[in-house]
Order: sequence, then C-alpha cells, then structure tokens
Amino acid sequence: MRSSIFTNMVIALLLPLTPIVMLYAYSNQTSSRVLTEEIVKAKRTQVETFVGQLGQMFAQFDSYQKMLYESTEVRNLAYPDLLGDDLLRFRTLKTVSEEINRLAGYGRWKGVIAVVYPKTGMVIKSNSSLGAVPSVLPDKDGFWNYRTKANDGAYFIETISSPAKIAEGEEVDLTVVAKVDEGEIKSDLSDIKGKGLEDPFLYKPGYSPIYNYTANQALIREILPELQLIEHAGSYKPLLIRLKNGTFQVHMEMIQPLGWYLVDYVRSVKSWRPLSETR
Amino acid sequence: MIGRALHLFAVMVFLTLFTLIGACKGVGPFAAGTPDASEAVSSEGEDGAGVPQTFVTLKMIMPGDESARMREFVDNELNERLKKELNLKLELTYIPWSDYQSKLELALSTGEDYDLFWYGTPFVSDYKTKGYIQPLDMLLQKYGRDLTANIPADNFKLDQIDGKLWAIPSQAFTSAGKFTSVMVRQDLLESVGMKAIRTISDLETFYANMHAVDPSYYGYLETERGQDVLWRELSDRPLTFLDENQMFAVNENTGELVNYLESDLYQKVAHVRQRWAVMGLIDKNLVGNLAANIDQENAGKLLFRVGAVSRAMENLQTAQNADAAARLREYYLSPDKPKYIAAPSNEAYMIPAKARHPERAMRFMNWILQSKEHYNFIIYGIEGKDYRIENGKIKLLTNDQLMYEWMWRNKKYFMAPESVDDSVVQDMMQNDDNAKISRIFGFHFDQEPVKKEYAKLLAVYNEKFVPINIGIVSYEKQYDSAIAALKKAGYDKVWAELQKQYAAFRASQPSHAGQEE
Repeated sequence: MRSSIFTNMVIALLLPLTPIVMLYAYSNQTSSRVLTEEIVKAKRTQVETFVGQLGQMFAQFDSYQKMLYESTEVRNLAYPDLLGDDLLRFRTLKTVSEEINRLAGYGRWKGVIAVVYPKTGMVIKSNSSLGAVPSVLPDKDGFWNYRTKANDGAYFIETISSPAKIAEGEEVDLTVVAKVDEGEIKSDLSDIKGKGLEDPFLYKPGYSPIYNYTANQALIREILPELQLIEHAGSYKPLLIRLKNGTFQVHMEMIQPLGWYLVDYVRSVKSWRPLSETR
Repeated sequence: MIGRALHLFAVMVFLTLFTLIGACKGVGPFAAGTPDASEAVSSEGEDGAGVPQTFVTLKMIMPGDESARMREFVDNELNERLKKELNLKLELTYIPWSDYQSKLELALSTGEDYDLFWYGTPFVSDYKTKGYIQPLDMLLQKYGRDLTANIPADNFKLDQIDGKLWAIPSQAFTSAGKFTSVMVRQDLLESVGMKAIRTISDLETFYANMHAVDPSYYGYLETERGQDVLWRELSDRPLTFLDENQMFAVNENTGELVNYLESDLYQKVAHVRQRWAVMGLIDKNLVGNLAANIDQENAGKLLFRVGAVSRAMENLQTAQNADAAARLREYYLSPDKPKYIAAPSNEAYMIPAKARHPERAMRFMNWILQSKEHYNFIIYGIEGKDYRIENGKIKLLTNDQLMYEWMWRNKKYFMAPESVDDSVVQDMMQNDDNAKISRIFGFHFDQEPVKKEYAKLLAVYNEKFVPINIGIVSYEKQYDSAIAALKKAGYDKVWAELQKQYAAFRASQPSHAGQEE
C-alpha cells in the first residue's frame, strides 16, 4: 500500500516533467544548431566579403590595364616616327605617365602599373623603385600569375601585349603590366585578422601559402594536407579538421581572378561537431 | 529640534554632493588648476602612464614608395609599440613622388579622413588659404613638449601665418642655400680626371667625358626645378626664389622683388638648358617620365642632380645599392658667393582640417622626438636587426629605407651613417657657416586675393614655360607667345599683389644689418 502511494507520487511527478524535459532537450538542440549555423554563416560572410574585396581589386587592375592597352598615346609611344617633334613626344610621355600614376593611385590598394616598350627600352611605371617591374616579363601574355624570384620577391603579375604575345620569344611593340606584391596581400591579411577573421592565409595547392604577418605557421602547415584532400574531393563547404591539438572549423573560398583560396580556421567547440567531418 | 537637525543634514548632504561633483569636473575650489588656452583642445582620457584610453587608427600620407621592410616594420614592431605607448595603429598611405602633389591635394580637397601628412614649407600658406589644414598652437602646447624642446623656436616662425602655427617644421638642421647646389657622383667625376665642380662648364665637361667612356650614363635629374643652381654663376645679383613654381625671386642685396620670367637671367638659364638638351645631358627620353628618371638614379646611372645640403648623405645608400663604389658630394657653383637661409626647415608636417584624430597626430610627432631611442627606432628600425651603432655612426643592415631620415633630422639626435665620407658630413655640418638670413624668411604669399588668376597662371606656365625650362623648346621660338599667354592669364595682377604683400611684410620686419638697402 505504502509502495503504491510512493509509486503513484513518482508517476504523478514524472508525468508532467517528461514533456518539459523533452521540450528542454529539443529546445537546447535547436538553439545549439541555430547558434552554430549563425556562427558559420557569420564566418562565411566575413570570408566572402574579403574574397570579394580582393577579387575586385584584381579585377580593377585588369580594367586599368585594358584601358592603357587601348590608349592612343600609349600605342603612339611605341612608334617614335609618329612623334617626330620633341614637344609632342614630351607631352605624350607626360600624359601616359600621369595616367598611369592616376590609375595606380585610385583606392587604397597598391599595385604597380607599367607600360614596357622592349624595342626602345623605355618603361613608364607608377612606382619609381628599381625592382617595381621585373626585368624579365612572363613568356606569354596571361592573367594573374604568381611568381617568386630571388631578386624581385614574390608577386602576382599579368601582362597584355601588342601584338599579342602567345608564344615564348615573340617580339612585341609594347606590354602593359599590372603587378601586386605579395607584401600587399600579407599586409591586408594582417589587417583583416584584426577585424573578424582568426588567422587568414592564401593558399593554392603546389605553392607555399601566403601568411599574414602573425600567422601560426606551424598549425597552418598541419592543416594544409587536409585542405589538399578536400580540394581533391571537390568540396569547399565549412568543414572540421581534427588534429592532435584540437578540432578546427575551416572556411575557404576561391579568389576567382587568382585561382588562390582564402582560408581561415577557427578552433571548434563541442557544439559544432555535427558539421561535416573529414575523418 | 528634529526638524532643524534634518534641515541641517540635508544642507550638508547637498554641499558634499556639490563639492564632489565640482572636484570631478575640475571646477570650483578643488579644481586641479586654472583653465587655460589649451582647454580649447578636446582632452583625451589617459591611463596612469599618460597613454590615451581609446585605441585609434592614425592615417598618414607619405611620399615615395614603401619599402618591403618598412611595410613589415609598420605592421609589426612599430605598431606593436605604438599600441602600447600611444594606443594607436599607424596606417601609412604612400603616394609616388611623381604624383605626390596632385594626389595629396585631391585627398585634402575631398576631405578624406587623413590625420597627418608631410610636404615642403612653401605649400603651408597655400594649404592654409584653401582651408586644407588646421592651426596647431593648442595641440602643440598640450601634446608637443618634446617638439618644442628639440626644434629651435625660430624654426616655428616659418610656419606661422596670421599669428597661428600651421605646420611642424620637423627638420632642425643646417639649411643655407638648400636646392641651389649640385650633388655629383664623386667617384665618376674622379674617374674622368676631375676633382670638383665649380662652374657650369665643369658640369658639361663631366658629362661629355663620362658619356665618351660609357653612354649609358645620363646627366641631370631635375628639369622642372634647379634653375637657381645656375643663378649662382649666371647672375651678378644674389637671388632667392620666392615661390615653388619659380616665377618670382627676391634680390638679397636690395630686398627688391624680381620678375624672373621677364628678366635677362631667365633667357640665360633657358639657353643653358637648351644646350644641355641638345648635347644629351638632359635626356629627352626621360623628361616627362619622372618614375623612370628616378629609376635611372636608383640604377646608378645619374651623374648629377640638384643638391639639398645633405643629399650626398641621404642618397648614398641608394647609389651604393647600384654601385658599391659610388660616392656622392655636393658643390655650389661660384662657391665664394654667399648662401642664404630662406627656410631653416623645408619639411612641414601638417594636420588636415578634417583629421579625425588631431591630438593623436600631435602625440605621434612628439613621440618621435621624445628620445634618441624613439628617433632611431622609427628612422632606422630595430637595433641589431636593421642597424648597428659603430663608433658613434649608424651602420645600416638593410637596404630598405624606413621613415625618411631627412624628414626628422635633428641636430640633437643626428648620427652620420658609417658609409658616408667624413668630408661629406663636414660639408653638411659647416654648410650654414657665414650664411645670411634671406629677405624672404617668414614671408608667405597669400594667393586668396588673386587665386583665380594664379590658378590660370600655373596652367599657362606648365603648358608654355616648362618645355622651355627643360630645354626641349627654344627660348627664341616659344618665349613671346608664352609670356603673352601668361599676361593674358593675369600675370600683372598677381605680380602687383605679390609686390603689395611683400612691401607690407618688409615694413613689418626689422632692418637687416650688414645688407644693403
């Protein structure tokens, strides 16, 4: 009889509690999922925003390069006979020089724009540093190429020539060059690191990453093999990478004009685990 | 009784609260001091060590191209330190030399939110007139103690207009005859059997001899300035340019203004320049292409350029990067003629009218001159990594330039680079010996009354006179039409206004002992 009363009391207590516990569990799971999704979305937005900015910068240089390529003054300087008069030559040279400086100075991005006239040896450029334009240009015209040279440092470069240079050794009258030093990218990676991203870097399989100035390079080197695997799998969704010192949520997005990826990683907390796992 | 006690208690509470509030606000009998003029400057909250509490980004414009090491230094060591000591992040925007003026003025006129920039002293008056910059008296008084302690008081007079200070004359060093000397590749000069430069003919011989040995060398860098280098030989009157655009001058003997473009002297200078263009000393392929011009200098192909008292020291690092054997030296043509101090500091740091953090800009400048350690840090970088001190001289360990040394050169902190010959350092240190103060010291032409005419004048000058100045168009062919166009643009009106303002300036000056009137 006594146990029957106890059992009844327990049942009476458990009956109303059960839906409350179930509701709590459901609510907690939903909140955790929503929170995780929001964090992922926010991080994704930050990555996409910066990728957009970088892409826009390179696209802007593309358009400046094409504008110069189409300029009558730029082309006339390739043919000295057209500019027989010293004054006309001076004015044309000055116009092109000023135009290049104007274009290179727009916005806060700093790159080098130049026109090289191989037959006369003349170079008109937006930056007066000796190594601003590499002494040897790419063999063929092309979009943004990443180059590392012992004397010139590392940089992205694209060239367009007249007539078009489609094979090595072809002679051209002029080449319009756009170049962005790796240092500019590093500087901006460092800048966005303080504005929301954790430890961003640029990466392309087969190349050394471009780090921000205070990057945890040892950790990034551990992450890199996983990124290669992911790239081979063709998936660029946020993902989790488990390493011996923790689990990391990784975001990566391609900067279209470059073919490089902006990568950022965040140390994962338990509630993020339900995301896709790589191992 | 109880009622009176409560009343008394209420009055006491009121008085206590009043006193406390007064003390907190700094007014009333418990105020820390009496209000003074500096209170016109908004105060920043500081911690116990005097570091401002709010973290800000200080945006500064610099001329030239940022070196790789400078970028890395600013992003890392410098900003780390500035965060700790001034709670700020320095963000530098470099504008290439060839386009500095136009881009700087574009930024200032469109109200971009820069906090600090450098330019030459002659531009201070113009920028003040255009409303680009703000007065600095209060900021200097409040945050610039080390600037006033390390820069002579007379130097500040140079940037005072209408009783207010508009720029910080950052350099405090010798300056007589600045931009009237020639800086020469001394090693190349000696390689063709010459020892020194004293005449225009010496310069031409140097070029001809050198060109015969190796035609890849070219003669002269500046073509749009440096006419006063030649004046020392071509003029029997000591003249000093009054304006950056080289249209007007003052006769240092008589104190009279000289309408230079209409003088015989202008014709003589134009003839020399034309001769140089014909003989190739002025390279027609390089005029108009300033970046390439500088590039050639960087490549070690330049024979001479306009000097700046200390350019032989400043440019040595660049010259030796291209040619380890390079040596530089400055010479004055007709060296026995006197030199004049027109501006004890040609370097002026200004704070834009629309700066977001003017207080922090002033604190930053003050920080640079606060100690020799700060000065060395921002100019040379990290001791042991970027430079070493050997026998009281600076030995640079990197080829990259950080903050331009000449911008902040200060007699108190200066150390010569170990690579520079003692003779060059001696030239520099003794440059002002027996120099005279120029008649135009402290004079600022206010363009406001004739600003429309002046703007037109500059357009015509650049179009018609610059080609004569650089020698690619002959004086005889172009001068008449050029001067006619200049007159049409309002030259006479500008000239009259300049004379009027200059007469008023002279009337306010004490007479110059030892100079003829």
